[in-house]
Order: sequence, then C-alpha cells, then structure tokens
Amino acid sequence: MSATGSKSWRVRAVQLLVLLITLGVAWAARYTVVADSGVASAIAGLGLLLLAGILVSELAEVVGLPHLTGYLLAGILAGPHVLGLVGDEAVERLGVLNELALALIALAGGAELRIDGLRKALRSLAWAHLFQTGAILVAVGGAFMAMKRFLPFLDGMGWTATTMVALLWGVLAATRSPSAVLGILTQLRPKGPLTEMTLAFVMSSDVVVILLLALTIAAARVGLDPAAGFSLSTFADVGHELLGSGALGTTLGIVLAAFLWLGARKSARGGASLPEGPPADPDVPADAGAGGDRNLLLVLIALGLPLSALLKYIHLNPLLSFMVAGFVVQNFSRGGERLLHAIEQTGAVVFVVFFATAGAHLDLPGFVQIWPVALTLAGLRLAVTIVAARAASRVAGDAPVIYRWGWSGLVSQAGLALGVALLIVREFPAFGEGFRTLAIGVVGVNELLGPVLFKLALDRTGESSGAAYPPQAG
Amino acid sequence: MVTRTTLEALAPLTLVAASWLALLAGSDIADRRNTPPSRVVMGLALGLASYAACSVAAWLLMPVAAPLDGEARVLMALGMGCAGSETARIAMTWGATRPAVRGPLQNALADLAAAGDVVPLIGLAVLFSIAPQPTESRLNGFPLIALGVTVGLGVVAGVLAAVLTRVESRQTERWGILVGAALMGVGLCAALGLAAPTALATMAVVLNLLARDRAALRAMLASTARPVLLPVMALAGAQIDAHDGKAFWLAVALVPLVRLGIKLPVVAVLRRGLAPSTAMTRWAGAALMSAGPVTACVGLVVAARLPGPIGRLVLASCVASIIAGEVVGLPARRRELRRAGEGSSRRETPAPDAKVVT
Repeated sequence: MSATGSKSWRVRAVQLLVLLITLGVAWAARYTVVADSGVASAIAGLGLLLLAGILVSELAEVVGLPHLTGYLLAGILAGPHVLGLVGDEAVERLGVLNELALALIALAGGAELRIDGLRKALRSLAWAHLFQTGAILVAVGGAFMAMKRFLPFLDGMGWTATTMVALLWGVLAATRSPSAVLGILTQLRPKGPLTEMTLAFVMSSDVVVILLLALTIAAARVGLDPAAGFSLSTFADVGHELLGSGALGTTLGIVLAAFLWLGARKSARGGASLPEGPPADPDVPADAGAGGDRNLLLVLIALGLPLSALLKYIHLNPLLSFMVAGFVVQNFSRGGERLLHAIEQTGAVVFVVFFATAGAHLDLPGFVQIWPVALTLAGLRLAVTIVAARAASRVAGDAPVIYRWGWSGLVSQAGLALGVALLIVREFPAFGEGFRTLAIGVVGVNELLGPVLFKLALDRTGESSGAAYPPQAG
Repeated sequence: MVTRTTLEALAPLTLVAASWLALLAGSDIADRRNTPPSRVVMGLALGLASYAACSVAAWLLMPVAAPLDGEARVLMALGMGCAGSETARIAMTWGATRPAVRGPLQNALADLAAAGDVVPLIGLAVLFSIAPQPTESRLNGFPLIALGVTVGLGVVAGVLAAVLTRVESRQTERWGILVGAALMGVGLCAALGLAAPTALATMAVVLNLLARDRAALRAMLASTARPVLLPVMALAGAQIDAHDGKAFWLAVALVPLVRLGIKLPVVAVLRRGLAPSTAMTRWAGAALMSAGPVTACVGLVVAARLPGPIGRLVLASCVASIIAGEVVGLPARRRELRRAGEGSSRRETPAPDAKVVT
C-alpha cells in the first residue's frame, strides 16, 4: 500500500481475515497450553505482535491512521489487558528486543541529521527549545499544581514539595519521542522543512531533557528534603553521561564508518562483502538478497544488543550514543546513505516490535482509574506545545509551514518519557509510583495521539509522499 | 569463556536460529520440484536407511554405556536416527559457488542431499510427539494429535505467509510477515513441546507452493543462510557436555561410523540409477557424509526439549556427525568430482544444468 493507502477492499478483507485467523490460532494455542511457558510464550508473542502489528497497521490505514498507531493498537489488542494472548511475562521478556529496536532507531535518527541542515536551523532550534521547555515547565507544571487535589500521591505535601514534583512533571512533559517521529518518517518518507525541523528538534531534545532532568532532580532533592542539601554530584553524573555517551557514540560511529568503507572497497573490487549465492532467477528482484546491506544490518544487530546493555551498565545513555554514532557516520564518512538504507531494511520489523510491545505494555486498568486527570494533562500539554511552537516560530522568523504545523511532531511521547518516570520512581520512592502511573496514562494518550497529528500535518503540508514505496499487488 | 548461564540466556535465540535453518531446508526442498523423481526416491531411501541404521545401532548399543530403558531407550534411538540421517545440502555449495565445479555429478549429489533432509525433519516431529509433553500442555498423551498439530501449525503459518506476501510487495513488510509467522510457529511449537523445525520446514514448503513471488521469497530466505548457520554451529559446539563418560564417546563414534557404514553400500547400489553420465565410484557414499544445518538444528532442539543424557548424547552425536562429514565427506566429494571431470581448478562456464544449492 502506498503512503496514502491504495489497496482494494478485497485486499483489506483478506488482511482482516488473516488477522482473525492469526488471533484465533494464538487463542487456540493459549487454550491448549494451560500455563505461561516462559521463553516459548515470548517467542510466540513476538511473532504474533509482528503479524498483528503489520495487519492492524494496514487496516488502520483505511481510516487514515499512521502505521505506528496500528502497531500500538495491535499491542493493546493482543496484550495482557484485552485478549491476553501475550502475557505480562512475555511482554517483560520482549523488553530486551526493545533495547535493540531503540538502538537502531537512534542510529537512524542520528544518520538523518545533516550538519548543513542543522546549521541552517540552529536559530529556529534554539528558540524552539527555549519556548517549548519554558512554556511546558511553567504551564504544565502549574496545571499539575492546580490539580493537586485530584492527585492522591501529593497528599500531605507542602507548597515547596508540590512545586518540586510539578517541576519533575514539567520535565517529563518536555520529553518527545524520536522513535515515533522516525516511525512516521519511515512510513511516509516525507521531504520538506517541517520534516527537517521536527527531526532536528526531537533528536536534540534528548540532550535538553537529560540536562533539565539532572537540574530538576538536584533541586527536587533539596525541595523535598531540605536536610539533604544541594549536591553537585548529579551534575557530575550528567557530565559523565553526556560526555561518555558522546565519546562512545563517536567511537562507534568511527568503527561503523570504517566497516562501511571496507565493505565499499571490497564491492568496488568486484565482489559483494560476503558471497550469498547468486539469485540467477529472473523473477528475483535485484535487492531480494541484498547481501551487502544485510551483512551490515547483522553487524548492527550483533552490536546493538550487547552495546545497549553495556551502555546501561556503565550508566551511559544508549539513545544518545547511537544517535551520535549515526551522526558521525552520516557527516564524517561516505557511508551515511548505506547505513540508513541498511537500517531502513528493518523498517517494519523494528517499529512493529517497538510499538506493539509498547502497546502491550500500556496499563489499561491503571488508565481507567486516572483517565480524567491524564486526559486533562495531555490536553494541556498539547495546547502549550502548539502555542509555544507558534511563538518560537514567530520570533525565529520560520517559514509559514513551520509556524502552522511545527508543533505536530512534538506531541508524541514514548520510551524516553517512561524512562524519565522510572528514574523519578527510583529517586523519589515516596511519591514515585503514583507519579509513574499518571505518567503512563498521559504518555499512552500522547503515544496514540501524536503520530496521528504528525501524519495529518505531513499530509496537509504535502510533505508526505508515497513515491518511495513500490506499487502494490492486488 | 562461554558459561552455562550464557548458553541458557541464549536459549531462545538458539531455538529460533536452529528452527530457521529448518525453514531454509524446507525452502530448498520445495525449490527442487524439477528434481527427477528417481533421485527424490533415492535421496529419501538414503536418508531412511541412515535413519534406520543409526536408530537400530543406538537402540542396541547405547544401553551398554548409558542406563537407558523403556521410553528413554526409544527416544535415544529416534534421536540418534535424526542425528544421522541428513546429507548436508549446504556442503554441496562447495561446488555451486565455484564456477569450475559444476556438472551432472554435482547435481546428482545435491538432489540426493535435498531429498534426504525430509527424513530427519519428520523423524524430529515423531520424536517430539512421543516424548513426554510439557505438563501444562493438553496434548500430553496424544502423540498422533501432536504430530498433526506440528504439521498443521506449519501449514497454517505457510498459508498465512503466502496469502500476506501475495498482497504485500514491500520488502521490509515481507520480512516482517516471514519472521512473524516463523516466530509464531516456533513459539507455539515450543510451548506445546512440538518440533518447531518440522513446523517451519512445512511452512516453507507451503509458502513455496502458494506464494506468487516464490523465487523472490526463496532468495530473501537464502540470504540469511550463512549468517544464521555460523552462530548455530558455534552454539552446537559450545553446548557439548562430555560428562556422560563412556556413553558420550560411544555416541560420538556411533553415528558417524554407522553413517559411513550405510552410505557406502547404499550409494554403491544406487549410483546405477543416477544419470548415465555420472561417474560415481563405489566409494561415492563417503562424498555424502557431510552433515550440517539440519543436524545442528536437530542436536540443539533435542538438547533443549529433552534435557539430560538423551539431549546431551544426541547433541554430541550431531556435532560428531558434522565434524566427521567435514573430515571425510569434503575430501571424498572433491575426489569424486575431480574424477568426474567436474572439479578442475580452471574457471569455466557453468554447466547448463547446474543449479545453485543453498
């Protein structure tokens, strides 16, 4: 199907039928196996999420929803809270694959950033970050304080402590979702100022959030427990995280660039980087085997999982490291396009795994309890994002398209926001769990709404294009 | 360096990768629809003969070194049969990847090898169906139903993948469909205690029968052969556990020796039925000693499904079979091909009927 959706109703009916059969098979198997069978359930769950994610995303396209929303809906549908075909334990086990998916997404995100583009957009980016961060911290944080009586985890807190928790909420609200933006970009392959600006903003927002979070946590420690005293150790940790992640990302980028260079050199000498066996059949498309890029992809997968674990172990930021690596390859070597092409080959698989698992993770029973507050906070964040984006665009003198739609890619939230919530739980266990439950609810709303708005904006501005996809069968 | 804990952590990956090799084997089996029926029959006969001989030998001899009785003895015999019945298709790429090494004999060997893959895969399904099912499975005690479900899951996965790839032409989505269907098949089989490799091989056959772009799909799958095979081989080697003493050494020696003992006379008899132009010697059976992807797959999944002496000994015999195939099979195949004039070192145009075997 093209980006705008062009498959016939017959094809859609077939897809719906296959989806029902797939769910039926999974249900029958679940009935046959009495207990959750650990690893096997996780493998079956992953397969089910992949198939259901692809199919639901196709069907969601009929009503104009982006693929990401379809993946999320598939995860919610198959997950523990609706059909229960993928159990809680399986969802937890699949978290490992999320790390890998996130590594590939960050690598692609970094590789999408070009120095020239960043230079041109520097002024706009600076204003956008300033307005977005300031407005969200003040307005969303303020609203959070105003809603204190609806938030049981704030009971008994004084004004200062509540302000600190509201600031932490503001930081959480300031996080964006690079993975959601990249997911939409992978589906639509858009080109234009809105695409470039959104990508640059969400990728750089990671650094802004890390800095802001460190500052806020340091202040909140004092605000919540005046006896604790102000400590600079948090800043040392942030410095370690940012510089370490940057240094490791640069090293990884250089290694990848060297690998790409060697591969290109080998190809130039007349052979593929590894012989795969010649597909001599005339019916076989030229890229069906795609040996060279597939080898690169395998290298990335082999590197991604252990490196993500290692980076977390030494308290570095995997998202930032892989982003820097992609940026280095794109801007300081000739292998950027090949890297992007290799990662794009994983396209559907990576995003389905990431977002369908995220959908399965969504705590629907928890959301039912807090939905009015969650919806209010999400709505307010959306309003503030729109106003801040327009104000920043006006000051920076951006193109009308940025002024009008610049906010659309900033609504999505996903793994980064949940990671921030988890960190806050660890730092402040006294109120952390309640904070996290609310965060999961709000992030869930933004996760579902954000991609839809961004796709709408790309469609309306004409930046989305289905040209990158081949014509469809059926 | 690689601890048991590491291997246990890698268990899901091992299961998926090993089963994926069976998917590739199934894809290759389905690709050989133009193989002369006589060669298919001969390949099956060779595989069955090896299977039967290894099973009988294990049934008779393994209890000498390991305390096996009743059901355990049967499972061990069937496992050893699976371990000894493959003739590695991938080994034949030694010829197919070299332009100068092609011709009727190369094709004959490849055809025999491809047909033979069916035997260990069916044997595995039978073994897993009669082995005690996980306590939480409702298939416990119904081996025939378990066998049917194994094949049924493969058929359903194959049909779903074929239908979806008919309406989806994007490469990345096709990968998602193939990987998703395969993972679902592997996971459900593993949860039910069934043979995931057999289900995946069935899926590949059905996919090849029903898919519109079967050549493109085969090429996609074939491109994964090497990257999957190498780690699977390494994992098979890493999981070898020699603490069964005499039984371990007996298992290591038994399967390769029985394979050699059965392949030499059977191929000596069958060679007359191959294409007239082939010039196989009476020792050509040694050229079919190679074992590889399916054997490694058998060893790993049996070790996971039947932990304990049966799994360990079957895995040991699988690894021994692979090593023996490299030591004996490869030189023998080179010698046979050179003798037939298909293995010269100069580069020349491939023979018209040469096929690429993956």
